[in-house]
Amino acid sequence: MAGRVSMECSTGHGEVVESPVLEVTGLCKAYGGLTVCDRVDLQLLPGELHALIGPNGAGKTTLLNLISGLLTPDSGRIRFLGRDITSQPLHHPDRQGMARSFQITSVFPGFTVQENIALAVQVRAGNSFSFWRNTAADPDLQEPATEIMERIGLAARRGVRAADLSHGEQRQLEIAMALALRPRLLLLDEPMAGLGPGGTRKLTDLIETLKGEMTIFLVEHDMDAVFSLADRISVLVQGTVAACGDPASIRRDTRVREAYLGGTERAAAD
Amino acid sequence: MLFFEQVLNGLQLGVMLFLMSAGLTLVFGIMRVINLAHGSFYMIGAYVGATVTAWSGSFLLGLAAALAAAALAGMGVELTVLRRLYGRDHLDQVLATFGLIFFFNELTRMIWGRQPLFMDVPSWLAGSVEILPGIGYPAYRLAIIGVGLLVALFLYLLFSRTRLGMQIRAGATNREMIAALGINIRLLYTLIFGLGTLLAGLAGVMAGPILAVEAGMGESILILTFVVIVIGGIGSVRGALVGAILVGLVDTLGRAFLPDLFRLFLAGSAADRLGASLASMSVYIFMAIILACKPAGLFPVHE
Amino acid sequence: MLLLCCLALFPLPVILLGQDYLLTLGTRILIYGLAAASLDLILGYGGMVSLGHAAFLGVGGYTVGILAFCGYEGRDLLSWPLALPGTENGLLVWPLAVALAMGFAALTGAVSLRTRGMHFIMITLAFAQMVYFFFSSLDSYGGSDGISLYGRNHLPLLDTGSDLQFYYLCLFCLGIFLGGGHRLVRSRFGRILQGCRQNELRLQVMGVATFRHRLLAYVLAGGAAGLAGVLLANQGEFVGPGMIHWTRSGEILVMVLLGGMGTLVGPVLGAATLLTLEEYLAMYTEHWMVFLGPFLILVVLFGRQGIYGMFHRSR
Repeated sequence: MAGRVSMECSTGHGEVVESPVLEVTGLCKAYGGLTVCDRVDLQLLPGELHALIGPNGAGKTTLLNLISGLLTPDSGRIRFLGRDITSQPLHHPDRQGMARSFQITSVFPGFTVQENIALAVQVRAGNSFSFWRNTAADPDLQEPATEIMERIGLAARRGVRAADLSHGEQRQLEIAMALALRPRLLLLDEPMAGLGPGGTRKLTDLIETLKGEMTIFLVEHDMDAVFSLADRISVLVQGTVAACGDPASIRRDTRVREAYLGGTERAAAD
Repeated sequence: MLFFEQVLNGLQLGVMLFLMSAGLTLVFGIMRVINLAHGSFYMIGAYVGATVTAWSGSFLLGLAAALAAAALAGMGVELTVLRRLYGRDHLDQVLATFGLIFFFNELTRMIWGRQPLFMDVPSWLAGSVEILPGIGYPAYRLAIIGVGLLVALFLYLLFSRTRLGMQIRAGATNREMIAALGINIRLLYTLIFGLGTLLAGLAGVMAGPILAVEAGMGESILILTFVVIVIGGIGSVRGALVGAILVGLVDTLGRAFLPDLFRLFLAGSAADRLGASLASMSVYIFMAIILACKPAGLFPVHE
Repeated sequence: MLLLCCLALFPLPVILLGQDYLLTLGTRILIYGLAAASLDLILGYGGMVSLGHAAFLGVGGYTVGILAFCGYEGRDLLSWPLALPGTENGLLVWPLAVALAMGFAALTGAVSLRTRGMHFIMITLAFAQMVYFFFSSLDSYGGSDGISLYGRNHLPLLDTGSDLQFYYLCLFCLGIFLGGGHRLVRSRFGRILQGCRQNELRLQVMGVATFRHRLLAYVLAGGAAGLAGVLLANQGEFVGPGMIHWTRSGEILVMVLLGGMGTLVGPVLGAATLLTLEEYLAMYTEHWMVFLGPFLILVVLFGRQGIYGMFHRSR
């Protein structure tokens, strides 16, 4: 199932690459009269960090929701690891291997850091119909959880309830939970939102360490982070992919500048 | 003949349920508060109406007093208790409004005693009307149906023609928006709640002559009201109307005819037992069937 | 653990003082404690606000009542397809009652658990009301007056007629449930259940089919409540539709909240508080409920931890 990458969106190497981890074709979603996603085409290659940028209201979160299965598209196809997941429900095994973080931090507020991650490990491990054994005493769950905690840097806060963590720490926790699922594809929805410069740097470094281990699809507004992390960037404007390519070419692309800066460049020139 | 009479009875029950559910579905849909105490306003309407009618001799005066009492009590409750429940856990709302039920029920028993009150049908509505040749139907019940349809018409005009109505409809679909538009939310909520309780009081005072007026009367109709709202769709007044008529008809016709229907097919006491049991459960089975196909009700309000 | 010991020792001073009615109160506290704890399982841990829990009590209780009644009358409950004679044998009746309660939970849960929030609350209320009407309409089995039993179910090794022994039997049942529940909520299943309460969407996005877990928890809670119903019917030697009235469901809910939800033990304390209050306040004024109402409202508005929470600040 080797597929060719369209020349418009090449990595710059020009060779044939293996089949994409995620393939979105002709995805459409409309609410009433408003078309939020308009025939979106996207391909994610194995091991790359692919960023999605675009002005507010362009439909980025909707696209993410469509891919992760929270919304069903009106038309179009989504193939994940070669399987069609377009209309599969959230718990379908074909979707396994995809993990996401949310724009508004979504963890289990009543559980401690350790319990949150252990729960994610448990979901990955399967068998949630065990009724007797205390999970806190189960090394199959707690050891991987501890490993991930240390990797993310939250080990010192293992006994703290998620609701009591700082915003940045909650972000870290979310990513830790996503990692615990050992995904092939990690979807990150504006992870830097609301973080100060220190937090942003930490998170950027963390994501850098994840590159290569899995495919990452990063939706983000923070341009510094995007340009330092991304292998390829897609630009979403008013529901369609206006441009796609490596960071350097995107930076030069006039359509992108127009989309972001709108008329201000022309206005400055007047 | 009997069938037609029962259909009218079903419509009458449906109309009462509509009065109860119209306000309540709005409270659910806009303010997102589950209010278990709605039945208490039905009861307040009945009690005040019965008392004032007996004291003054005029049904219309009693009616007016009942409406005023229900509306004022409603707005009072909104200002003191309900406002603090917006945005809170459903559980908190259930408990707090549960507390209200205890309070109102007991207060009623304290003021009026445990004996049920009786209310007479006003003399100018007593007697029957001949709707079809040879078939008479109590004028009072016809009047109830009439009032209910008038209220439905009134609500329709309110929602589609007036500014207040538009604000309410906007509130049903997008709460943040109406705040952003600078509309006084607090006042709007109080008015909506008051409207709902007024309608409940209307249902209560009209029910007075037909049912016994006693503490706890609100709760039995409340549960049916919930069924109506669940079937019709939370937040939808149109759904409340359709749901109410359906529930009224199913319940009345079910109770009237299911036992006989069963006797046709099964013999003996088993038929009687089964028929009678199913008759009282018919509405809930109906609800379960509708929910199995449409979990959000017939007219779900999208947000 | 401490609580159970207290409860185990409770009867001693009671007997010494000769206040037998306290033993009855104590037994009722244990039974309602079981019912409330079972509600806590789905409410405090699973986040499912059910206003229809009394229905399970009714199913359990009525199984006892109807089978006993058939036994008295000397007739069969069903003659087709199986001949099912009436019986007072606890070993037959009790498992059957629990199984029926669980079956009912499975059927209604399959429909109602597809909804959440306000929908779910109202639907559970409606289903409970349906059960209420069903049993009220069974004229041959007491109708709205209920069935009086001539004695409690027979069990081997015990004299269920003895109030003291019956008290310990109820304590045993409660203990089993609390112990089992304690392990259940800390198991893998329990974690998923708690996750459902805290953030169900997150679990679903992670790929968990949460419906199955919630349904199973609902069935388990229903079964436990069914057992409570069995005990209640035996304790009072009476079963009637009043057991299923929606106010009963509300009372159980209040017990859970008053005592502290999400703890399993808290609801037992809540049951103790509410029942004791009912017993004593009623002596002072017939209208004590007028105060309960606003009291409840105040508790909701200003205090969330419940009685258990007052003792265990760490929660």
